[in-house]
Amino acid sequence: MKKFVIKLCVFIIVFLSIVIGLDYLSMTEQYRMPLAKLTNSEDYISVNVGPDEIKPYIEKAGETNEYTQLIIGDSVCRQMFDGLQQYNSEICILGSNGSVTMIGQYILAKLFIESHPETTDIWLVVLPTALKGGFGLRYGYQYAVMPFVETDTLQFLEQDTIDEMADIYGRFFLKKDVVYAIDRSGINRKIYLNALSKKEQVQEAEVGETSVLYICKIMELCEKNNIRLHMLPGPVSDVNEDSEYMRRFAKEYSISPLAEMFPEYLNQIKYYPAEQFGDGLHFSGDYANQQQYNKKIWEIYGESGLMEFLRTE
Amino acid sequence: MQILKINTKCFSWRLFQRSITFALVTFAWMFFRASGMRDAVDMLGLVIFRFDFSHLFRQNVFLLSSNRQLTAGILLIMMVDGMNVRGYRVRELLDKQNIIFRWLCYIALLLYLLICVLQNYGAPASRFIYFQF
Repeated sequence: MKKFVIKLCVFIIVFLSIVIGLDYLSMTEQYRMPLAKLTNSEDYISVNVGPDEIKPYIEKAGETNEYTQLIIGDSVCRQMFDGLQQYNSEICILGSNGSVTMIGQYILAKLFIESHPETTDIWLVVLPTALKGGFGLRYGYQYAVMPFVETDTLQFLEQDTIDEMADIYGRFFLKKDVVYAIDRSGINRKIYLNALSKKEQVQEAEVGETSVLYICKIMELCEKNNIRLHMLPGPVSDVNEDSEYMRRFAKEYSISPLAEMFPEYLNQIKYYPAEQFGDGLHFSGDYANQQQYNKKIWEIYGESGLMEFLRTE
Repeated sequence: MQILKINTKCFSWRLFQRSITFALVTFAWMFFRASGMRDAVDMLGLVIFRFDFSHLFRQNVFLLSSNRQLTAGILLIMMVDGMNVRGYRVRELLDKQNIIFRWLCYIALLLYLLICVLQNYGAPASRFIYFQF
């Protein structure tokens, strides 16, 4: 019996060593894709998503150049403003996506201010949904935690925020080596993200505490550096007009510190017909071109002061 | 059998027996698979009156399954079963081998199972991609 137990232990150690070795190989350039294909996980790493999509924004924000203004925001901001970078040599356009949360917007603003001491204005263009609290289980890890850890920007966050992330994703999974292992290996990413998605998502407020905290932190940074911070809404589908969601949002917004900081935000929201949106959030079809975006940019932001600086052609 | 002078010790007789067993089991499956007696009778009607030989070679029919792991698993079971029929016991054969070869076989089998599980584990990657516009 003793001999059997010893043999079994040795066998388990040998087997686990081989599994760990194969997992290590799945992170190496040479075997990354073949092993991902073998385990049917190549889609998790074959396209430029997650940290690879967000890291370039963080890097661009930290570059030193002649920009004096910054536009940051969610994916709708990106859709509408990205094509205007070529006409604006003084405005840095860094619309990313909502999954980076307001924490990501804070990191971008902080890096930009540090590398651009001449900054005069920061424009935060976000849909009401981008102000929702909490971290998403489906996208939060890939689009927020991974790029923050990999670019060493997690250190800019409050300890409470890091603890909140640790509660959701596990403290072990906030370590740089572990994030690297998940980023590089399709197998690891598949196992971890699927395991994560099985956790129960906690219902968060429409105007989340964390969102408010980090917008306040952006404001603090701006005040310290004599920069004007503006928060503007993105275009919203008219199915939301007079909806229960918008009523809830308006109520929560009006009692949050944001109402005092940006009193015009709610009034500036413009609604467009639902057929112009492909997924309820982003413009699609005939409405997804820069000419259409420019028209809407003038309609929504014409009175905000942004158009005094922003060139659309 | 003696009257008909059928040789029951040859391969063709065993093939005939297996074919009959296979047909009867497949027939019985129709009644298990159908959601009700009416459906089973309808299926039977289609098999008898609208039989098309080419249907047997479609994907997902018997061993032509598109699921490679399932096909490989069935082939493995058939192979081990065939060896058992011929008096070869796989476990006994493995026991006679050196420990390194024996363990290599076990590890290969476990890794194969692990890969099969990983291949079918979880949701498609698109579920975790933030599609924009």
